[in-house]
Order: sequence, then structure tokens, then C-alpha cells
Amino acid sequence: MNVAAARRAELWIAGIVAAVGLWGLVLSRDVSFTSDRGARIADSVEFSPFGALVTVVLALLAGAGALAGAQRVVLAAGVAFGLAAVAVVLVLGKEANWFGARGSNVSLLLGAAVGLVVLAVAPRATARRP
Amino acid sequence: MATTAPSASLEDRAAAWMAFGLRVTLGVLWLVNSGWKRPPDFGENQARGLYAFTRDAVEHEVFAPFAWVVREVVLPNFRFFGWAVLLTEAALGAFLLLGLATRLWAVVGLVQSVFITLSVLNTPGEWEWSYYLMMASHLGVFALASGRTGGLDGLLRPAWEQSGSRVARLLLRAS
Repeated sequence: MNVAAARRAELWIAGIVAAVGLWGLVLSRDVSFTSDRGARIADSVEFSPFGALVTVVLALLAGAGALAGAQRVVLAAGVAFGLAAVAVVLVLGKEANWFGARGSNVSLLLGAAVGLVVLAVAPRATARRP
Repeated sequence: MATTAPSASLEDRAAAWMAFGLRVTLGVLWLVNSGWKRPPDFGENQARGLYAFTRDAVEHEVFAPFAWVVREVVLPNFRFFGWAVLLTEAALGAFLLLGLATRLWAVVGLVQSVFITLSVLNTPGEWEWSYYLMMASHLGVFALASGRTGGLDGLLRPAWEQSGSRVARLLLRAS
């Protein structure tokens, strides 16, 4: 796999998720930090400030890893997104839903997790020396 | 993530990016619609939400064998099926947006669209063409292999082709 294309894909995923998380952070400014009913973005994902913060921090970690070419950091961010997705599934519909999340958040977090992990573990072409 | 050949004509590139747009639209559709499936009861206690739509398969029958399965199997075990629907649709959103194993997920989306159609097609107030369009769109994503433009399939297929492992061969077929 082409190194530059892989890095670009990682940055796209990290950038989009960070943007969604930041939007959630702004919209949830009047919601209590760990409310189980978050602020909703365009009839899709919902965030409490805690849920938005987790999303943004993990996306920034993935973006930093991609920029630095550190696949282990991207992999760590992807695994953390996966754990966050599992955590959201376990607390959906309960008072313990500190993420303020709904089913759409599972889709977002799962996408970030799978995308980053697949990119981080895929073999990359190394430049040949003349 | 673009993988359209650099030598492709403008017409070919436009077609490939249209296929990308179709895939992303369907991904967003599933992401958005996984949002209103609310655990733990998925509307069963108040006969609304996913439970009410599922019950429509019995009350406004479209296909008798499907209505029988819903009445005898799905509704008595509704929480399990609610979770199955939620997780399937969330995964559909994730994988179609990524463009990973796109053809496989297009088939999953087509099957899910058929189930939805068989549940609500005859429900008063429903616009039947929306369900036909959902099915046609998934067929389009499958036919166009739209994960190969602007998706992870396009990025990873060369590595899968070189690998030769069983998983890689499966992913090549799924993409």
C-alpha cells in the first residue's frame, strides 16, 4: 500500500471524526458533562460534553499519529475507538450513558475504529533504492 | 483515497465519483437511521419505534411467510432482534462510509432493505418507492464496486492481490 495514500486516508478519517466531535462539543455546551441525553447533530449522532471530548481526543491522537507516520499511534487510536464503540453499546438506553450517545454514535466510532486499525496494520510499500 | 486510473477519461472519473457519492449517501442513511433504534426495549413497551414498524409486517401483511416469521419468531424475541437490527445498521453505516468490503455490505444493505420493505410496504402513509429506491441503490453500489473510488477497497486491493492469503482472497471478493 502506498505510504502517502495511507497517511492521507488516516488523516481524512481523523479529520472528519474530529470535526464531528468538535461540532458536538459546541452543541453540547449547555448539557451537563456526563448527561445520558446529549445534543444531537442533524438527526444523527448525539454527544454529551464527555462523549464529544472522548471523540475529539481520540481523533486528534489518530491525526497526530498519521502526521508523524507512527502506525502504532494510529493503531492505538483505532483500538481506543473500538473500545469506545463497545462501551457505548453497553450503556445505550441506560443512565450510565455518559457519552450522551445513540445508535448513530456506534456507527461513527465503529467506522473510525475499523478504518484506522485496517490502515495501521496494512503492509506499506517501502521506497526502493536505486 | 482516489484510485481511479490517472489515464481515465473525465467521463470515467465522473462516473466513478458518482458511485462514490451513492455509497456515501447510503452510509449516511444507515448511520442516521441507526440512531432511532432505542434499546433496551426498542419501543416494545409503548408499541412504537422499531417495534411498531416491525409489527406492521403482521398488521399490514405484505408476504404471508414473512409475516408468519415476524409473528412467531421475531416479536416474541424482540429485544434480540432489536439489537441485531441496531448493530447491523450501525455496521452498514460504518463500512459503506469507509468503502471497505463494499460489495459485501451492499448485499447486506440490500437484504436489510428487503426486510424493511416486507415490513412496511402496505402500511398506510408509506411511500413504497422509497423502499424500491433503497434496494436499487444498494444494487448500484454492488454493481459499481464503489469502494474502489475514494474508499479503502481501492487503497487496499493491491495489497490483498499480492498477499494471496485466504482472508485477502475473501476481501478481494467482498470489495
